[in-house]
Amino acid sequence: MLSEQEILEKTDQELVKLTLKHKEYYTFLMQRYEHKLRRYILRISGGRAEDTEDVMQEVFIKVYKNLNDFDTNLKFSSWIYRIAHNETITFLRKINRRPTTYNFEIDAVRVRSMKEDLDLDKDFDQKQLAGDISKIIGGMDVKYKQVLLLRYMEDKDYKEISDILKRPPGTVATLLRQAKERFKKEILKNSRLR
Amino acid sequence: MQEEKSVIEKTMRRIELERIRPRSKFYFLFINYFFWSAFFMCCFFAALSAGVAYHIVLEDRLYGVDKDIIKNISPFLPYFWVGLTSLFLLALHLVFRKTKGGYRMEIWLAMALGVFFVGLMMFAFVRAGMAYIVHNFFSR
Repeated sequence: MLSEQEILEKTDQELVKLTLKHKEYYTFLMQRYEHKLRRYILRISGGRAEDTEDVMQEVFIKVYKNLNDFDTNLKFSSWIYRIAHNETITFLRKINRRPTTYNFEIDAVRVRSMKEDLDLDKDFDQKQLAGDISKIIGGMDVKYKQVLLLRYMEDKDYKEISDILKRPPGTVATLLRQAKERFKKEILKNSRLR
Repeated sequence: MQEEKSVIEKTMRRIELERIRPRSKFYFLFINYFFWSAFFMCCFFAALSAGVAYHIVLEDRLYGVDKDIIKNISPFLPYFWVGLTSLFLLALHLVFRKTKGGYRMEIWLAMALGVFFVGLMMFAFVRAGMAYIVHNFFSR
């Protein structure tokens, strides 16, 4: 068994190879993605913490079973996010529930980057925007919600989003553009109502 | 922190208890080949049915007919073969999306390339006389 320091220096791909030889290494791979996946699953499902735990366990089991299917042309993170995404959707279907609104916390850096990207007025109240983001995203159509979450909350680029959602990059770009337009419209409407 | 640990622990325990193993490489290789084989089969049958349709219209029903009639071609169309071609083209598209990396190609491009290659194969089948043989077989 390698030392913790050596394991930390390994890439995800290298850890996958190690896991295929010794399953004990899988713990380290799970540790790398536990936080991110929990946050992502909660955001897309708006589910309860217990449900998220169940989904995560299923995701980790599925990832382990399919380790030999991991395509090295992809980033490991895209692959595991894809599995988590599909597993969450399957879970929601199983319990016959649509993804609901979930009020998530957003840090100031993300809010600022979103503000710049959406070309919002400089004077636009940052606090107000932070408060509205999760409400507006949560209320959007799933196809828009998922691209916005992946782009702004998970910091994924177009290619990664395309790999996670298994959609062509052009389609992702179109969806993201439409999602941004809708989001901007909603946020401006909200600010006018105040 | 306790909760974070427990998901990992639970997963590892489940892997141990249920003796879960990663599926073999060959399993995924088989699935991959299965989809590519299905893809080429769909290509072949789409081209063949398109070839038969082409043969029926241009070399059978319209043989010796005044070419002006082509303006009103609808009564001469072999709807069964045209429908079959469309079905195989649709299957071709769906199977392509299921292949590894098939999702990366834009839908319109995948469709256009599919139609182009099926068209090329169709002409090859017509020239090789395969369309004629299939048509004769089903005419009987």
